[in-house]
Amino acid sequence: MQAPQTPPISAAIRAEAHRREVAARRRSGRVALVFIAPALALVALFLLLPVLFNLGLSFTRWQRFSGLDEFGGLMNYQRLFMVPYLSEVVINTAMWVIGAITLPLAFGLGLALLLRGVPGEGLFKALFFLPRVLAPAAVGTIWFYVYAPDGVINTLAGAAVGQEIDYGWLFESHTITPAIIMTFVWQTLGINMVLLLLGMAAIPRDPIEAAHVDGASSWQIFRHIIWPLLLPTVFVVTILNVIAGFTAFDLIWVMGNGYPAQRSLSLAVFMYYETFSNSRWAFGAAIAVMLSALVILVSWALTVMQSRVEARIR
Amino acid sequence: MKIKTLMASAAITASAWTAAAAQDATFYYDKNGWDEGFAALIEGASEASGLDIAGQQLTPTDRYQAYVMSSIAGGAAPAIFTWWNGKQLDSLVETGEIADLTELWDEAIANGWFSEAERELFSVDGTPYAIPLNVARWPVLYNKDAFAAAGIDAPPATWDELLADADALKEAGYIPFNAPAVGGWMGFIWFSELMVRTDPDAFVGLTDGTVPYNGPEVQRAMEIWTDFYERGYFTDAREQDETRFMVNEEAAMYLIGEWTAGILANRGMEPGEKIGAFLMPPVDAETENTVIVEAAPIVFSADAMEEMPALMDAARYLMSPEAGNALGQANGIYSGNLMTDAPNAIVSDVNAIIAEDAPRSVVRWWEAVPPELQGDLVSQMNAFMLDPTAENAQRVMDDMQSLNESYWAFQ
Amino acid sequence: MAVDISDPAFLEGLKRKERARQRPSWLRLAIASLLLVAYLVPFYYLFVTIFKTTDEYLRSSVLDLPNSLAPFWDNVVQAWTLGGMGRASINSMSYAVLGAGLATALAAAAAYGLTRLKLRSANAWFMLIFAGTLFPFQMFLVPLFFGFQRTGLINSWGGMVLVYTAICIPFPLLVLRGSFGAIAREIDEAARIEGASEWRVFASMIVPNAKGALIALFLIQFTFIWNDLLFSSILAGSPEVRSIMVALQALQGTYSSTGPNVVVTASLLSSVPTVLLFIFLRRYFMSGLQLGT
Repeated sequence: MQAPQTPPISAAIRAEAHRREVAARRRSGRVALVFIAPALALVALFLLLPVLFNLGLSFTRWQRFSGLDEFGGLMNYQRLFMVPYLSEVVINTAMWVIGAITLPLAFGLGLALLLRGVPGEGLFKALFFLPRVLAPAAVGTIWFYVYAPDGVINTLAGAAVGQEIDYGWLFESHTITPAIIMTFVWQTLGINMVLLLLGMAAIPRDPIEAAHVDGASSWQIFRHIIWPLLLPTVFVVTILNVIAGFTAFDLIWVMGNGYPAQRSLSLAVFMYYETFSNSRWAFGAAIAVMLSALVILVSWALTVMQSRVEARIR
Repeated sequence: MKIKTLMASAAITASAWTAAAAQDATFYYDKNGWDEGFAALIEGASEASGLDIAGQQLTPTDRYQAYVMSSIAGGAAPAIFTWWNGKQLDSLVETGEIADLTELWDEAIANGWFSEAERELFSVDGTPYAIPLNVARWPVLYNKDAFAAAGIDAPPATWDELLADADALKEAGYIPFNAPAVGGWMGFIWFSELMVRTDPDAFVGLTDGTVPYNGPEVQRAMEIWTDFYERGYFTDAREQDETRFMVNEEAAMYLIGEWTAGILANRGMEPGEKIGAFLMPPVDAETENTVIVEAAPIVFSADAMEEMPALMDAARYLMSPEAGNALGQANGIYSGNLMTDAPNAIVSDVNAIIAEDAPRSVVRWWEAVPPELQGDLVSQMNAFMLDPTAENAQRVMDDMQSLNESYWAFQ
Repeated sequence: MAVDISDPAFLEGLKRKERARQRPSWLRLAIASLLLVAYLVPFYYLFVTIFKTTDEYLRSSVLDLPNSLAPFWDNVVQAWTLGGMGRASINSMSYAVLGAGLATALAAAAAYGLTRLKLRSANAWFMLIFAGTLFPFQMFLVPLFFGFQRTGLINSWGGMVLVYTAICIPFPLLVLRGSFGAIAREIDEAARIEGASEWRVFASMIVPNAKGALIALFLIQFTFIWNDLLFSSILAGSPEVRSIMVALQALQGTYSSTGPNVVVTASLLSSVPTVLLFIFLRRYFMSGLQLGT
């Protein structure tokens, strides 16, 4: 914004200019609010208000037909610790979080390194990415039959060992969670790989070439050049994976359909079950609050780590 | 101005969204696959009452229950809706939102439509609050060809005969019983049947907290259940298609509600010709002969009934033989009305058995158990079916009892 | 390190190294191909199953090739009618097109207001809207269910469009705030001096400049809404407004006596729109991923 050039300006003119500018800025601000208003209204009404409402509900005694107007204090939060199968819920959720952080990243990274510069890289990328655009509900439905006692996995394994196998992967307590996590990995590995490839593409070639010339091994190049420069991407991918792991629902809901203790397969499923199958609304609201606290805490911690790492690179 | 037209059309669509408000009353139900029958019932009820009644199906069942419960918690019960009897009806009536139907029942019994026994199924503390949509007994359905192939000429009348027939069927290459565990609810079927066949009083005691889930009565039923699995009497509980083994004739018998006759008929097994029914005999000759009854009620909101007295005419129609026949013809469902025609051969067979043996009727476990325990307990029973060993049976019994104990401790 | 680059021995060595780096690419191709085959086994299962009858499925091995291609059509018809997939796919298509379209448009308008106009504490306004995505979806379920039930929005088409639109606003806003902010200031300043209204500046200067991002965002949100099971299973239980994923799940779940061949066919049908979009607009999908990071 340029100030008026003519040297002698009276105070009145200057004041007038200032007034106009303030008015213009105000007008601009008002117009801006009009542009923001619809988005803000929808988000406030359907997302922000519900969050507060949920928090409030978690302190009531609401279950089944009544209790909406009765204050229950921390009752619902204490109730969680009295659930007899809480340890199963926690263990399964922990498996999900750890599995979702490490496996898609590890496989995705391996694949990204493998595919870099391979003939037909584009086609490979597209095919490995394909499961990602399928709905989790559709993927879960297909994999439900893949893991069935007479399904693909058992048929292939049976052919390999030469005898019939009819193991129920999704009906046994020690295989159901790993099995569903593997389906999750199958679906998300592609996007992890693509994101990492994007990150790698941004890494300058010169230091890598120079290291090659110096006779550095592939591992040394990866460890000392690629990995540090890739770390920011790794963090982004990890945060996405953590949230996906904590909140995984569709796959478990569809694939755990025949498993009697389905509700204990993760915190998200447990919340859904207590709320909509057992009609313990206030309790469900409290579980949602705790789940949110966990997710926010972990992603915040990762963000802090990320900015530290980025600061160190610079 | 474009924005104005946009706003105007938004306002019009907004009023279209809540179009349900244009009806006098909405009839909510979760029963899947009975659409034709419900359409007939709703048309008849509208005509009889002069009200504009709309039908609304919501599925799955747990989400349907959630919908009704949260409606009531928010102070607005649906005008007409289907529900469950037993403890489910008790807790619904406790809200004070449900209309008392004593006069209607007096009339219906005077007309000879129903007997006192049915009235009891739909009452809470002696007052009827619901009318029957469906009354279903739980017999064993059997494949007549399979019985013929195994050389069995009449359904078993004693426990020993049942075992002998099961062995004969195995010999003939059949799995004696189809026993699926799909949908998260089917686990209680064999559990409660074996309880009823060994000790009907203890079965009733389980549902009111006086009999423990790991006591000698349950131990005995679980031993028989485990033994049946060891003998190879049951189909693979992991199968997700509940009638698959009946339809492809790998299994010969199916312990289930009589409404399944309609499902089997749709899949090519004609009731009467291909499928017959019998009541499972008691384990000991001296055990009281009993039949498990499942009753699906229709209830009315007390407020709606007060606002629209004509709703009572709709209720009267829904109890009538015409309504019963309409549902029977459309979907093979038996309303329990004594003046309706049996919708299929299975229902008339069971009617004949009940007329002859006059067994004691008990409310199905699913409805009799406190709703708060229902899901947790049945998932234990499902877990047993997937791992039917003696050790697991013990674990399941102990877990069920600890859930049961903590529930009753708070009552 | 000082090297005499004209030294023939050194050049020979470089060439050898270059070749050595070329060679493993064939080995890597072989490994990648093997992995890909294993990765695609579920797709193989999918494609043989949709051509089997229920009877054939139950009697043969899951990996066997189908006897003929004919049963496919019957499976499609069964999935379409038994599961009510026809109605459900129309519902989901309308939710996804409208929800994603509205959300992207409203986010664009908001991003314009935040970046191109003189709004005081624009950052705080942004954080307010963006706070909507901080929480896992579980946090919204109980209040939305109850609130929709009280206002009559439950089981209504309009309620679904509104909730999907709201959920899909924050992420595009985050992205568009960045891309609008990167557009040169001079463009709209000049237009304003010429007397263009703010709406005109927005619609004909800024939006065309971010077309790629807008398309990518629309695709991402479309896919999310089409694939959603959680919200639609809670808020839309009646057959008239049921979403495609709920219909699919109902077909697989309780009370259904449908063969795996029909259920698997249904899951293929339910994926057709997103897969087609992916195939034809892959470029935008991939650029959408970059936006995400």
